[in-house]
Amino acid sequence: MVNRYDLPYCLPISRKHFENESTISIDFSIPEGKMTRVIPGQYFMLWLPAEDEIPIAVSHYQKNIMSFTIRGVGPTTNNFIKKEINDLIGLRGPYGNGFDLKYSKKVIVVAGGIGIAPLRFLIYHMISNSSNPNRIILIQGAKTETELLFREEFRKLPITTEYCTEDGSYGFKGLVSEKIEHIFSDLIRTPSDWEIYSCGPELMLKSILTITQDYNLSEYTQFCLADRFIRCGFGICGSCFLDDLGLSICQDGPIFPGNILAKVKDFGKFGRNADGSKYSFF
Amino acid sequence: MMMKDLKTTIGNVEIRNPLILASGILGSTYSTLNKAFNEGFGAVTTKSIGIQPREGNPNPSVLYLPEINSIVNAVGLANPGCTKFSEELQYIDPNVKFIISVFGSSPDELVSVIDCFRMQTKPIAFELNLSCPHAKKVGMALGTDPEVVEEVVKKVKTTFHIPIWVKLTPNISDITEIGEAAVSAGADALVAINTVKALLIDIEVKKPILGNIKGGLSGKAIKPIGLRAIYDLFESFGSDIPLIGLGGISQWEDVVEYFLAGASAVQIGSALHSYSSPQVFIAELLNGLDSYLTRENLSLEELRGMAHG
Repeated sequence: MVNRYDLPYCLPISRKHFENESTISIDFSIPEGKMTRVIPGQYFMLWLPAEDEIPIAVSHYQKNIMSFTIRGVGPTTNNFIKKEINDLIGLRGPYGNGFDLKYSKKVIVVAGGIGIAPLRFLIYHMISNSSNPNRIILIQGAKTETELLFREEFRKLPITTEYCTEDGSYGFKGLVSEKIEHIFSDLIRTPSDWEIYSCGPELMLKSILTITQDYNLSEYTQFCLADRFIRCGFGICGSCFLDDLGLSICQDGPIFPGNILAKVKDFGKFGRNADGSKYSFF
Repeated sequence: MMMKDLKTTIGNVEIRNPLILASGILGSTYSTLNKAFNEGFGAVTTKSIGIQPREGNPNPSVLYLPEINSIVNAVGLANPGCTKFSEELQYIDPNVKFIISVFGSSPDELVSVIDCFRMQTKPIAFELNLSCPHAKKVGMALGTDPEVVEEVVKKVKTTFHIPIWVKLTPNISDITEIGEAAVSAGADALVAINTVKALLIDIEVKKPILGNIKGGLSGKAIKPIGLRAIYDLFESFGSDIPLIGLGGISQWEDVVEYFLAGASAVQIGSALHSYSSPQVFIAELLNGLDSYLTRENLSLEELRGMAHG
C-alpha cells in the first residue's frame, strides 16, 4: 500500500469505454504493492505525457481497478478521449479531502453533467461500506438524455433514481435544482435526517446551496467543486485559492460543506484562470 | 517565559520576526497573503508579477519529491499582469507587511511594472526577481550578467525611492559578482537563492515529466547551496548589506544556520508542503529560534555572521 503517488505513476489504460460520444471511462489495473487508498471525492492529476496534466476525480475503484470518467471539453480532455488501451497515462495523487462520509443518515446525491463521476464512486462506496444500507436517492441532471451517464448500472443498484434533462428528452424537464425543491417539499419533514452530496457546474451547486439553506440543511450538505484550474494538487502554488477565506480547492477541497461555502465570496461567482486573474461565471 | 525580541530590521524596514513567506508560494491572491501573514510570518512576498498576464507553462509544473523533501517546479511566472494584480492588492489588509516580487525583460519594463503599484497600499519593498530559471527571456536571463543587473537596479533605484531587494540565482559560477553589481547600483538587500536548475524524467514514458521539460529545485535538498550563497555574500559585504537567506529551510535549526552564515532574515516556501497551514510551522520555527537565542544568550543581530572569522 502506498500513501500517494507524488510523481506521475505511469500505467497503461487497461480498458476504455465510451459512455457517450464525448465521454469516456478509462480503467487502470493497479499492481499489488502500489495500491493506494482513495476516498470518494478525491482526484488524481492525470498526465498525458508531453502534453498536459489535469485533475480528474476517481469515478470507481474496486479491488485493484481504478476508473476515471472524462468528458471532452477542451484540447486536453479531447486528447484523453483519443487515447487507446495500453497507452500510458501518469497518475499523481490521490489529492484533496474527499467526502466526509457519515453513513448515519438518509442520503440525497445530486449530480449535474459530468459531476456524476465522483458521485458514482461515492454511491458504490456507500452501498458496500454501510452495514445498514442507507436510503439513497440519486438526482441526476444533464442537458439531454445522452449526457445522463451510468443509467444502466444504476438500475441494478439499491437506490432510487430521479433524472432531469434541460430539453425534456428524458425524465423531468428542467434543472436539478427545480427537481430537488419538489423532492424537499414532499420528502423532507425531518430535514436533519438527510445528508446531501453534490457535484456539478458551480452555478448549479450555488442554487442547491440556496435551497438547502432555506431548509436549514447547509451543514449537512457537501459540495464538490469541479470546474477549477489546479496546478500542484497539494495546496502550495496558490493557483486555486478561494477568496476570501483563502482555502485551496486542491487540498482544503475539492469537497466543502455548505456552511463553509456560504462564506466563500468567490463561490458561484468567480473562478481563476491559469494566469491567476479572476473570471466571472456570468 | 518571555519570548526574545525577534523584531528584524532589513535596511530601514522593520518586521515583527525574521521569517518571510517566499515568492511563488501561496502569494497569488490577497486572501492567501492576508492569511499567511495572520498565521505568523513577519512579512509575505507576492508571486512574481510582470507587465502582461502570463499563463505559465503547461502542467505538470509543480512536483513534490518525497525522498528529498523538495519540489521541482516550472510554473513559468504565471501571473495576471501588474494591472490586474494591483487591483487584487487593493484588498490586502492594511496591517499586512508585504513585498511585491516583480520581473521584466528590460530595465524599462521593470520600471513600468513597479509603477503600476504606485497608488497602492505600500509594500515594504519590491523584490526584483532576476533569477527565475525556467521562463524564457525574463528572470535569470537578466540576472546572470553583472552589467545588466547593475543597469536594471540603477534604473529602478533612480526612478523610485523605495526599498529594492534583488533576488539572486545560484545558477552561476560566482554569486558575489552579481551581488556586487546589485549593491553598487543601490540595492537595499540581497535575497538568495532562487531555485537550482533541475530536470525530472519518467522511465516508462522515457521523456521529461515537466510540461516545460526543464525546471528548478527548491526545498530541503538545496539548503547547503543556499547556505553557501549567503556565506559567500557575507564574506563580500560583511554586515553592511542586509542578506535574506532562503533555500530548504524546514526546521528552526536551518534558520539558525542561515543567520550564522550571515543572513539578516530568511524566507520560507517549499517546507509549507508538509503543513496544512503555515501557523503550526511558523510557531515551531519561532519557538525553536527563541529557545536557542535564550540558551546561547544572543540576540538575532549578534548571531548574524558568527560562523565567519
